[in-house]
Amino acid sequence: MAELLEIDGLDVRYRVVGGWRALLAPRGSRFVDAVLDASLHVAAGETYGLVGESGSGKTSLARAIIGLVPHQAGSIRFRGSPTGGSDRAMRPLRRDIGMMFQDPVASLSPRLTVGRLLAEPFRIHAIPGRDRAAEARRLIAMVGLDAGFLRMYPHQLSGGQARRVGLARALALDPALVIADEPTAGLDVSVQGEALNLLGALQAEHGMGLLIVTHNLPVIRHISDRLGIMYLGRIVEQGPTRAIFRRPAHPYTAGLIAAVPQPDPDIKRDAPPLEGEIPSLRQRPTGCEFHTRCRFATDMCRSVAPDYRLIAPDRGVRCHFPLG
Amino acid sequence: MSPPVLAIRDLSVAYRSRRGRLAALRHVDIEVAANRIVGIVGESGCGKSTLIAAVLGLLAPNAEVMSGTVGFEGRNLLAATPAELRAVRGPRIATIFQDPMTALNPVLSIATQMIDIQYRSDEGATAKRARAIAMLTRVGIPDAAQRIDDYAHRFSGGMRQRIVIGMALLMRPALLIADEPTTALDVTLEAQIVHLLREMRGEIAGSILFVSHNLGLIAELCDEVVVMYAGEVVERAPVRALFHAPQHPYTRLLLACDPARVAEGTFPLPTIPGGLPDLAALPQGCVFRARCPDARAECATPPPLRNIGAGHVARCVRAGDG
Amino acid sequence: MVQSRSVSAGSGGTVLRRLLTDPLGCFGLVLVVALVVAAIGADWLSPWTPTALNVRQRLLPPDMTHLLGTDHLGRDILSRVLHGGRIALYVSIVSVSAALTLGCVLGMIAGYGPRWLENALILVFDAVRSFPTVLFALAVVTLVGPSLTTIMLIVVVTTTPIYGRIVRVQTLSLKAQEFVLAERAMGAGPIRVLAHHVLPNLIGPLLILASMEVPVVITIESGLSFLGLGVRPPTPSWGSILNDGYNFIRDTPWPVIAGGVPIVLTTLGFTFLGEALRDIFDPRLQREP
Repeated sequence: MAELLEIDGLDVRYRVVGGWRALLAPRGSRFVDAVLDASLHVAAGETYGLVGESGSGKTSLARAIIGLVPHQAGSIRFRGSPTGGSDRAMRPLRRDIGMMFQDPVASLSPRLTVGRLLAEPFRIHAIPGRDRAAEARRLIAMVGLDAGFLRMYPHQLSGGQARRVGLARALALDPALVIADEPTAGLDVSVQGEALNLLGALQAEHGMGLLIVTHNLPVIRHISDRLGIMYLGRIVEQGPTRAIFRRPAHPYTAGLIAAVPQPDPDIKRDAPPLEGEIPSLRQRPTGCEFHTRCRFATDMCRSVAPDYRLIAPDRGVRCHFPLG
Repeated sequence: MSPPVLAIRDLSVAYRSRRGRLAALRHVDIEVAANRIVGIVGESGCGKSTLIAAVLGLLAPNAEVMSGTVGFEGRNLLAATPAELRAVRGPRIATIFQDPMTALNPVLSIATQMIDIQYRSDEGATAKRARAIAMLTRVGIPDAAQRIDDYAHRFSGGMRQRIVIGMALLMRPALLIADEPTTALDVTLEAQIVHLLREMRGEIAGSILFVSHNLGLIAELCDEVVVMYAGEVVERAPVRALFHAPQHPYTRLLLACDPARVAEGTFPLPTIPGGLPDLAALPQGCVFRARCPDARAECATPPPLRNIGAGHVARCVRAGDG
Repeated sequence: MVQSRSVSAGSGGTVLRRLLTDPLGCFGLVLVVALVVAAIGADWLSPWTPTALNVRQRLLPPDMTHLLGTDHLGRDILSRVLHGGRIALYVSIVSVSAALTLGCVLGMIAGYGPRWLENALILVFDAVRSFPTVLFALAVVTLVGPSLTTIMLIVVVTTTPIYGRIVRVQTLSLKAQEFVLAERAMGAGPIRVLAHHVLPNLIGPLLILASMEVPVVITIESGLSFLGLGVRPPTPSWGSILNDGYNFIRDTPWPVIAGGVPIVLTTLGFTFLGEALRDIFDPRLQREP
């Protein structure tokens, strides 16, 4: 399979102290590292799930791919050529990558009708020779809504409907890659499958690559081919979804999977699977950054940072003592 | 058997709106017995928020109670005066809301807030402070004696929710209402908070009304479950009966949609097609009829709440048929 | 297929209907419409030429020929008030729109542009705002000479930073919102984002603010004219009517009343209208679900 997206050693850093104060602040505390040394690749037709809790850097990583946030180190290659630069320089790339944002309603421009919103990609890229109204009708039908929605405004839509509109917009220009940031956020259990089913069906039809960023482990389990687990900005485990769920190698992955509440009253857990909280990005723990919450932590974990290494041809983990 | 702590009977609430009357709650019956955890499951628009507001006497100005009573400690809260309600809210019925970020006052220290809520107690400030510190330690705040003088922003989201729970339980309320208390938290913190709630229930001998859309949490924490749909109680059962032998089609479909129950690699994921009925113009008969895969002619008349036995009731004509 | 509901958007008709149900808003609307009609129709509504002298009929009290009496030069006060309204409205509308446009452009540049440009613009805004308005106005008039253009210039310079600052803050918050990120993610450039997605979301509140700014500008114009630093005589202005009347207040109260009441009514009218519009457009203030 040809690699569509290749990310290698990516760092995304945010300035936290700005202006004249930056001159006084110690060098290390001017920035926080949201993403550190992240490497992953997505092939055409593949679904990659990027999983993490809040503050894990998964959204920053997704936004860095299309240049909404700049990256400081590492490379992002799309179809083999490196990306980066100004909004103008990124335009051709953004034409080929569709993005869905977390908040289904807030990611739709509030003063535009659904019809105008769906025509936006064609306007932005000044695509000639296509009837924009017809395209909007084609797109709205593709996501299973009737043409009456074209006259509505985003605030008149339910979360699930807005999610479909966001999906239709992301797919407007037949992208080669779709990035979906928390596609189930804010949706009820009974409708959260809709958007994902649609994505999956359209992927089967068009063969695009899918990068799904989520904290929803139970959902991603069913729809992704491979998973990457992020913790404090680093990818701590990567591999085929089935393998990871069957036998997680990183203690954090194991805790994350065990923390999902089971809808079965006969299963009662005695203790929460992971104690403690995610440390602050500003005060990263020494050694392995997960050692503060890891029940297997040794002195080595507290002092020496583990490298990302392969434990199988298609599986990697950032841990001195992988489980299993 | 002792009388229930909270007894909601035949509660109907409607909102006046420009589109007419929205029947947000219709004939809701819910009982919370002493030392029991009752879970309310429902998706957006099912009436959970209206129900909590009605119990707390915090309904919006355009809401109107059409019928029913909310019995708590021998009186009807719907008929209580504002002063009586204030005496109930907090010391007798404590509430934990969804967002721990906004539940604490940002300009007062945790100590000030926790001493303030004990204003009905005759103890001195030192004793109140000691109680607050003991409670914070109990809910898992490390170095509570020092950290109690910090302000809310110095604590993480998970810690804040622990503090909120501690504050809620400080006055030993008879009833704790937890309104989606973990929705704003990450899954590892969610597990911790649910664990904490389960631990605390033994100590306060109180009852908990736990509102959530997460079936896994309900299964883990609750003794009884009430399923709500479009303003009605569609099913009410002990937790094992509900998860193992659901009777209402909505409950069954909801359980089937939970990705944690779906077999690995299922695609497409199950969903419930269709949407909520319009509360301003409810359909005749069963509210779930339009989305129900087993709907039949007899569903056009309002289904009765059928008793299946052992505290299990469902609002479906076919309930109990097997 | 999921069916769409039929909906009525917040169209102009609804706004007007809701405005009419609000007593104060209704009152404001009536006053503002009256002012606009009086200003536009001043030439036809005025019974006399506003600058025509008639020294034999000085300082007359109101009667059937001169509904508001005459001033110290025997000019019909009603005609002067009507024409004064035209000046007041002209000055305020031209200068408020100019300030609004300029403030919008600068504010959006500050909010969306690079940090150094933002800091530079804030510095300019603050520097201009730090001059006391009256002293600044007096200084400019002394340097340039009194005229309508001078008044408008003063108003534009002193109020642009107000709009600029508000627009900058709004732009900063809109810039971080997901729909702006989504547009950028589709490849939209800065000008498209600002014109199509930022501006429409801040123009509503801004227009309301501007409508409440109109009476302030009218008082500035009247004040400067009262001080003899505004509109040159014999052009009628509410401020100069007031000033003329002030000199003869021992002989007759009518010129002061005729010059003062319109200022008060206009201020009330625009303020009530602005507040009612704000209540209608600001969804956070709406009670109904």
